Formats: sequence, C-alpha cells, structure tokens
Amino acid sequence: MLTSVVYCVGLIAFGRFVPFLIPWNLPYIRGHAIGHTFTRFKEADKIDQDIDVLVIGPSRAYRGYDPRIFRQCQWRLFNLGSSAQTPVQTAYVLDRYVAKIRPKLVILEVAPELFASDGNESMVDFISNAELDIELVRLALLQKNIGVYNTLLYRVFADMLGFNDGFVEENPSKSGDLYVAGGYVESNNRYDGKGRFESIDYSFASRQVRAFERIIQRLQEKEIPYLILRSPVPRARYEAVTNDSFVDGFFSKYGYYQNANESLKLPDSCFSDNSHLNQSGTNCYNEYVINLIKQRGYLNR
Amino acid sequence: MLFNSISFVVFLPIVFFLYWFVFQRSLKLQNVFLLLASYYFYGCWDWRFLFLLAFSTFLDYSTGLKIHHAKSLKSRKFWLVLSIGINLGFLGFFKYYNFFVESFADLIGQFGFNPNIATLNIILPVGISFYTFHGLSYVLDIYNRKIEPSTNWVHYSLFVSFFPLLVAGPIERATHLLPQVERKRNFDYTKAVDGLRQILWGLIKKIVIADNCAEYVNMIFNDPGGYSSGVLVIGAVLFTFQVYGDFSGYSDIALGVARLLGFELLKNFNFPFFSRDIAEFWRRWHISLSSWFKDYLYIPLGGSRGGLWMSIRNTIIIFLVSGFWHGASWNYIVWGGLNALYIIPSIVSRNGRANLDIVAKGRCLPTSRELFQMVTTFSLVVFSLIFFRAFSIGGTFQYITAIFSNVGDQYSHLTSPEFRGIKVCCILIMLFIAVEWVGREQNYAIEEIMFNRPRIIRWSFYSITVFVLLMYMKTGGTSFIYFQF
Repeated sequence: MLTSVVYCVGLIAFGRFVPFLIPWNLPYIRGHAIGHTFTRFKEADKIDQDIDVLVIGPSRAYRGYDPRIFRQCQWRLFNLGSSAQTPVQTAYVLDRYVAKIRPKLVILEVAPELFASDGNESMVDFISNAELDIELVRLALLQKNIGVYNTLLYRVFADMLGFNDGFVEENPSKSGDLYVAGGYVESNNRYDGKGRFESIDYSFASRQVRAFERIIQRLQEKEIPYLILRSPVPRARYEAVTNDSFVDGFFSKYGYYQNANESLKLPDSCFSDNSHLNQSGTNCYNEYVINLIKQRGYLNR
Repeated sequence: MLFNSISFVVFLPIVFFLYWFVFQRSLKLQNVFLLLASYYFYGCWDWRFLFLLAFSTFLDYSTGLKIHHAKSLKSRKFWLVLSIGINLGFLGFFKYYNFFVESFADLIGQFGFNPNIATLNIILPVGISFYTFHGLSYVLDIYNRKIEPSTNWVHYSLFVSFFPLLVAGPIERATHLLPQVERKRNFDYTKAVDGLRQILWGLIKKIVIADNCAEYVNMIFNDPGGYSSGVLVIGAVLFTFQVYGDFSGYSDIALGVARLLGFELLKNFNFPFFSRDIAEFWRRWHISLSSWFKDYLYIPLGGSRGGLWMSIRNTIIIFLVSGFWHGASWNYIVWGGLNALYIIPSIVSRNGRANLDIVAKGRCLPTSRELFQMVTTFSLVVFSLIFFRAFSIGGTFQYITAIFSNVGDQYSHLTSPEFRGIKVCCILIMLFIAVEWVGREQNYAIEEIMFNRPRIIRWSFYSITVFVLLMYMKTGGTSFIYFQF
C-alpha cells in the first residue's frame, strides 16, 4: 500500500515538478512529444465533414503529405500519422476515425523499420496526447512495457489533477516544425547528408504483420479504396536496406503498392533530416502522389 | 534465463513455493527438485549443453570417489590428472581453441609462412568457466584430503549446478556448500526477507546502474576516435561502474536467491571501490575467483614461501592466468599483467596487507589521506579496465591514444541528443555510491540502512528503491557481462 502511494506520488512529482530529472521510464508527458500529435487529434475530433484522402502511418505520413497541395486539386486531405506509428496503432486510429471521417481513399504510408518495432514509442505518444478510451488502455496494457504503463498512470493522474487543462501545443515547435491544418507538419530544414547508415536487413514482427492484415481486412470490408505507399528517404538510408525485394514483395501482396524511392530519386536537399522530407521534398513527392491517384482514378471529381 | 527477465520473475516464486511448501518434508525431494529446477534454468539458455554439464558433473563425482579409494599415490595422481585434463580440455576447446589457432597462425605468419588454418564457429557454453572451477576445487580438495567425496549423486550435482551460482558464480567450494546441501534446511523468515532485500539491491546495481552506463559506454567505446579526451575518460569511468554494477549485482541476486532457499553462498564483492590500494581492491573484487587462484595455484606454486622473487613470480602468474580465465584474448592477459604490475610495489614493500579493515570504520567520512588513496586506486582500476572493455589490444591502444590526443572541445558531445540522459545517469551513480558508502561495513549496502529501523522507515526506503528501479531501469533484459566468461 505504502509502496503504491510512494510510487504514485513520485510519478506525479517527477512528471510535473522536476522535468530535468524525468526518468526514461516516463518517456513522454504532454507537450514533450514531437510531431504535434495532440493538436492533430484535437483537430481530427472536430472534423464535421467527409474527407477525400486520409493518410495514416508514421512520421513520414504527417511530414510527407501536405493538405494545401491536395487542396489545389479540390481534394480534402487529413493526416492522422504520428511519430513511429506502427500498424498496431494505425489499426486503432482507423477504427477510431474512419466512421467519423468517411474517407474516399486511404493512403497507408509504410515504413519497414516500424514493422520490426515494438510500438512503445508510438503508444506513449498516443497515451500522452490522444483522448483516452477503453481500447487505447487495452492496447497500452498489451505493450508489456514499464514506460508505457508509467505514462498511462501519469496521464490518468494528470487528467484528474488538471495538469492538462488548457494545454496548447507550441506552434511552431522549438525545432522550427510548423503544424498546418489538416495534420501536416512543415519543415524547412535541410539535411546535410552526413548521416552514416549501417546495412540493415528487416524482419517483421508477427504482431505488426497481423495488425497490418487487420487494417487491410477492415478497409476491404468497408469498401474503402487504399494505396500502400513508401515515401522517399535519403538515398544512403534507402541503400542501406539489404532486403528491399522482401520488403517490396511483402507490401505488394496486400494491394496496389508503390515504393517512391525507386520511382522518385530525390536529392538530400529535399530532406529535413536523415529520414523525413522537407517542404521542398514534399512538394515533389505530393505531385507524384496526386498523379498516381489521378491515374488510378480513385477520386473522380 | 536471466535474473533480470520476466521469465525469472515467474520461475523464482514457483520454485520458492514448491520448495518450501510442497517438498519441505523431505530433504531428498527438496534437493531433487532444486536439481531439476537448476537444469531447467540452464536448459532455457541452450538445452544441448545440459549434456556437457551432466558429463562434467559425472566426471568429477566419479574421479573424486576414485581418488579417495585409490590405494597408491600413483593411482590418486592418475585420477586427479585425468579429471583436471578432461575439465581443462573442455574449457580449452570451447573457450580457447580459436584463440590458440589464431595466435599460432599469427606467430608463424611472422616467419613468412601463410598457414591455412581454419577456426571453428564454437558456441561458448554459459558458465563453463564457473562450473569447471567448482568441479576442479572439489577433486583437488579430495586429493589434498581436505574433504571426503560425496557419495550422493544428487547432492554433488546440486553443488555443481545450483541455479543461483551456475552461470556466473560465486565460485563455490565443496567445503562450504556441500554440507549445506546435505543437511536439512528450515525456512527462516528473517533470512528470506534479507535475501529479498539483497535481490532488490542487486537489481538496482544491474538494471539501473550497469545497464544505464552501458548505453553510453557502448557509444563511446565503439567510436573512440569520434570523442574528446574528457568524454573518453567519462566512458572509461562509466565502464568501471558498469562492470561493477553488472557483476556484483549478479552476485547479490545470486546470494539473495540462495538465501531465500536457505543457503549461504560465498561473498563475491566487498565494496571494492572503497579500497585504499590495489591489494585491498583484489581482496574485495571477485573474491571467490581470487581466493580460488590463491588456494589452487598461488599456494601450490610456492606462494611467498620462497622469498620475494618467488612471491613476485607467483603473483604475476596468477594475475596472467586470471586475465586469461576471463577471456580468450590478449587484452585480458595484458589486463591481468597490468594488475600484477600494480600490486608488485606492495609485495616489495611488504605492506600488501596494510588495509585489511574497511576504510573509515566507525566514522562517517574518510580522512583526506584515505580519500586520496581511494581516488588513486580507483583511477588505476579505471585505466586497467580499458583493456578489459576494448576487446582487443589494438582497440585498447586506440582508446588510450585518443584520450591523450583528442584534446580541444571537451564536452560538446555530451549536449547531443544521444547523451541526453547522461546527467541523470551520473546523479544515479552518485546516489548509488552514497548508499554503498553508508552500508560499507555490512554484507551489502542496504542491509545497514534497513537493519533495526522502524517499519515505516524500512517500507519508505523499499518504496523509494522500487520507484527508482521502475523509473530508471533499462528494459529489455540485457545479459550479464560475466556470462561470456
């Protein structure tokens, strides 16, 4: 009993009052996360009209699909990507928002590294920033990770004690990222191309594969067309992957799939860091995606 | 199965419950159960090596009996040599085969030959160095007529394979552990609680101190050329805390688990960082190995009976062998040799036993002289452990050279995102040292803090310790450094 009390008091004290000592097993508290997840979910909760294109997936989703560009084609795009989002969380997002948003097309942005991930990073991002519901708590408990559990506990106390009341996410963020309505995050940084990448051979976690299959099954059941896209990364990073044929072969099994790294070879200047497109890269890539959608005739308007 | 894994968290309570509440009426049943649990524990790593463990046990058990019953000295020697030969043969094959082959190829390569010698992809059985030394001490003690051989196969097998000490020690002696295996054990609440406390402290050492240090140590040692002198020195200091937290944490958990089951194991660490000279350090660091080498190598070689030079020669030998025991690589041998060099002045000046008691006994703080001595000893240890961590002689010299050449912007790396948690890590280490200092006159640090205190204070301390553990531990069940030895 005493241990539980000390634990909870310590959790609140460390999370709230001594941020410089924030333990690694209390990884995110609201406002410390990157990627504007809080603002994005808030905006998603307020959507009151149908969306043409819904993008889901990891950070490359919310940094790689600009609603302002899609607007030029009269298409409403909303981005529900979040940092390190794995298929487990994507399935949750889809279940939570697809009935409300009623998208005409879903773009599944896939990053092979996240099919090999445990999903803890994304889960703490969700717990910190999304509205808590039973399903999210259930998913959190399934993570079997102390950091996820601590974050969940802290979130419950933070809500009870009003720590999150009136919270407004900083925009632009300290790193210069600007949140744009529609879930997009604009960055104008330029990658210096100095990153070194060790060769990597991806093997996917069965839990993530099962979640991905569930996503496809639900989209098919609801008869929502979908595209599976792999947006560009810097060449050196892309070339470090040694089993790309396996990766591409895997995604091709589940529907129409395009690996933009093969068709759109962007220079390092189109990236903000060693993984994400900057605004200039997004402009090029979105033009490519819009052409693809037009060619495939998904949104005949 | 690791002590810091979820599977062990499930395994231990099951063993504890069945051991004390189902099999408590019969010593025989308790021992058979513990033996099966120990084999299961070991088999979780790789069941194939259970046969090697069983064979090694059988070998020492039967040669022990043969030595005891042999009529002539020649026959006793024969069985002893057979046991030692086969034990060291296995150890040599699994641990040292590739080292000898590669060293031989390098040597004859110096003379212009280019031999085509194949190395083997050998898996090192976890704990082989430890259980081989258990067995060797047993047959050597029988040969020296210090003990009578066990006539009970289960008792002897449990002595060798008792799961708390099976994979990384402490290296037990038959004279100490076998009698405990043979006599009835009764549940002692105080002892069990003490065991749990020691397990808790061991976990703090391993998953809070060692594993957090490991993150930065790995980064720094993997790219010594990329860091400044100051950061490299920090890397070496952090490794010193890592290896101590890792190995002494393992030993604390082993001792705590054994105490839960009614056994007392040999103490393996005794606050070595509070040593005032290297001789004292080696009386406090990996005590069970040091005393093993003293009893079975140093003394048979003549110890210090032959005068100063023999004492120096024998000291150098045991440190070199001790280094080689740690790993099949030249850097471990050099590490051993360096420690021998450190200790020779105290042999020459005959003040190696000047500091037998713990520092500042009965006082809160050390004198400035004691503090200076402790810092000097610690610095020597930090330097020697660079050889231990760098994995090769070339790597070691690259690291040391970088310490002296990468001057300039000393600490800018520490502000990069990868080193974000290093300040908190250093605060944790300082708290850890403070607790160890307060408890330095006891068996383990928090024994003193907990002993004879009101319940509310004890439970508050437990609660804070659990909080620190769950907030700052590294998840993922990282292995223990000494498993590779």
